[in-house]
Amino acid sequence: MVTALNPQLTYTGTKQPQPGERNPQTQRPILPYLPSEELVEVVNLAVFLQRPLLLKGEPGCGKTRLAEAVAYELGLPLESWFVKSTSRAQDGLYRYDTVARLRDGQLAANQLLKPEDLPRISDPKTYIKWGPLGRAFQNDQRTILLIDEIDKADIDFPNDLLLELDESRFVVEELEQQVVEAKFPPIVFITSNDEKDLPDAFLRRCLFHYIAFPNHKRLADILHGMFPEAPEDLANKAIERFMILRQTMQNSGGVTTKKASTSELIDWFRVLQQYPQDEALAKLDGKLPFGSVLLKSWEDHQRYLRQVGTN
Amino acid sequence: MNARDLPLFELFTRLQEAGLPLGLNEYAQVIQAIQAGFGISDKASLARLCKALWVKTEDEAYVFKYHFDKVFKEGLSEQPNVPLSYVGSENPNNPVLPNIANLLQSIIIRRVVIGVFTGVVFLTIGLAGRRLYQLIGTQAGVESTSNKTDSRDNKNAFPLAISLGASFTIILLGGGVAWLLIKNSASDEDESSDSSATTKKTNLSSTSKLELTGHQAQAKLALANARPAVSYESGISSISTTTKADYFPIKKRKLQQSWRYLRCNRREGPKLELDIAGTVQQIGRHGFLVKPVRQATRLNRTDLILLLDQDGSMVPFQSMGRQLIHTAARAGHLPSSNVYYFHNCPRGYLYHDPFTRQPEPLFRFLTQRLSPTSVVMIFSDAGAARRNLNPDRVQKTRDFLEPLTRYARRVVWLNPIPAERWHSTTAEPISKLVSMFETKPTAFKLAIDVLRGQKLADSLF
Repeated sequence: MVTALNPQLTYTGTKQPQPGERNPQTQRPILPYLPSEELVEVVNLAVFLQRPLLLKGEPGCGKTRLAEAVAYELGLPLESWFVKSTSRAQDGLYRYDTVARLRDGQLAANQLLKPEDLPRISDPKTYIKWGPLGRAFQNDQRTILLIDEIDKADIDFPNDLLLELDESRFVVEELEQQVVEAKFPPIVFITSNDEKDLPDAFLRRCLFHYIAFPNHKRLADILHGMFPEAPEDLANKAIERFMILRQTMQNSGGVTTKKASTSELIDWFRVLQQYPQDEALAKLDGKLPFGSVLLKSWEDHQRYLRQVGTN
Repeated sequence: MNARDLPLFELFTRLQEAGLPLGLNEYAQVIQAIQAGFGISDKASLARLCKALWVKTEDEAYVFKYHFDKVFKEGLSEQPNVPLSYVGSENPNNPVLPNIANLLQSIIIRRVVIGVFTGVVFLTIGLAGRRLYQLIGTQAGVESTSNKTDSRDNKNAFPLAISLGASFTIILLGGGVAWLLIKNSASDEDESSDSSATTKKTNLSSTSKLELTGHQAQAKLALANARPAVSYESGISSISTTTKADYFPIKKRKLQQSWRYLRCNRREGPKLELDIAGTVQQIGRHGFLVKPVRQATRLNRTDLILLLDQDGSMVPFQSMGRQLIHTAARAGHLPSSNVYYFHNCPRGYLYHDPFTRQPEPLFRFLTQRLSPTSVVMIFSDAGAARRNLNPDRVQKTRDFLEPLTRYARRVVWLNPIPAERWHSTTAEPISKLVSMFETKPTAFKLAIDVLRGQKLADSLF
């Protein structure tokens, strides 16, 4: 198999957190993540070639969670950059806090500052607020960088990041053109919901992977990973029911409708699990229980109600 | 072994020709990854490796699959021929020409070889037949003496002139039959690849489906227009999946790139950003900082409206229209409410759906929907496809365009029929009323420039 890789930087997708394990920094629970073999392969390829990995797939298929899982397995720090419609590329590198600088300047001019503060405010670095990319570049360890939902931002946003991602360096103008160069080029994961096309120049620099919807077996594995105590037949039954619903959604709604995805299945199963097994199994035999977890649009709901009516 | 001798290079060049944005760097990376041990275990893993590095969208994945199967199905020995000559060509910036020449050459050679072969087979059959005929003749001669002279005459008359002529005709005939056979098999191949491609595309987005299904109409039209480039390409079966996009006068990628230029950045909305220049100016005025000056964020405020002519002579261009909508929407320009339909010329109403079921009064569209930031693109043949001059339609179009140009910021007309065919049709007078452009990459770019407000030398606006 793959030989020339640094074994410490090889993602296998097999190391899963213990139930109840929490992220020491955020205190949020770490959940298991079961990637497909192809996904594991492409992650290692991206690490090896030092190229960003662009992930697409249905909403809820685990694009964002991959970065977390890789960071957990490789034991590397994770920087997440959640892109918004107003995000600019510059925000990811650093922000110069002009307002604070102005305020301090005014305070100093009016002699309202303590003398010990003076060296602090004369250092321009005080006002630099590093963004996720800036922090990742300066970390002493290789960092996992997640740029989430890149397609939300302006159409020029990805192009503005080309140099930074390509050469792993950028210039801070406020610090007299100081160049920040990455100590270790970060491992970059970029997710896109495919709402906008990304520019060619940007695409060329990325590896691309489409996270396909998992099959029955993998769904069962995922549910088992998330809820180790859940009885197997309940999980299987829930998955079966879920697959039928998904198929119906696909048949009636076509490619445009948001289909229920893995994350919805997990939420749904979590609710089902609250009931004793017999009751939950009985619920699965009747009309779709807790449909509001799975059906996300009014149209889907109506369609579902109609179908229930005809059956 | 040279890196470019690998069958991978064939795949790479095929994908490049198919329009995937690949540079040599991408090729080098695959080699690098292979050297590191990626993708060498089996064919599927090699496919995954190449796909990860070369394919950037789901649509491209289907193009990739087609070419990958093609290259790695045909066996490895005969692979390097085409790419090698392609690499050796003197004009690396224009890879299409030498490669088309190559393809043409290989097709001609294939046909000639098979033609000659079939000819020889026919000739052998012919000779064998003659021999049989002679045999039968001699046997018959034994039985009846009256026929003997005839058969001898035949034997003498047959040999040189007739047999040469016959064999020549047979070779020609054989060649012709073989040519037909190949042609059929080529189109079969085309169709089978079509159907297999379609079956694989369960999850394919709607537009790329259109690209595949709508290409027949486009092809016919392209052929009818007798454009040498397009009609020529339609004869080449070996790059069929990808050339389907060529029936669109503008490729999807080109459309995407052109839409990108259409932007109208203005500061609007809540004042969130610090206006440093304004703040410094204020400090200069007052001598101290009163409070930071803020300004609204700069956002792209293009309000693009597409008006599409439907049905009638526009039927062959419906896929192109959908492609326009799709690419504009994905460039972030076009909410679906900004697409309107009409038939021939808007009269009284525009429609929100192509089936003209949800009307919106034209008056309301003009006065309430349009704003001074609206830019309108009309996609219609303006009567050019009918090849006649219809004064009534010109007048009606004028009645529509006059208020439209008043209410909208800018209006352009995209005509799918080539400009040389506008002459003495309804399109000619209409093209004088509005900036009308052909549906070609350069012209489309100009149309976008007009929408952006850049004046063109020959334009009326």
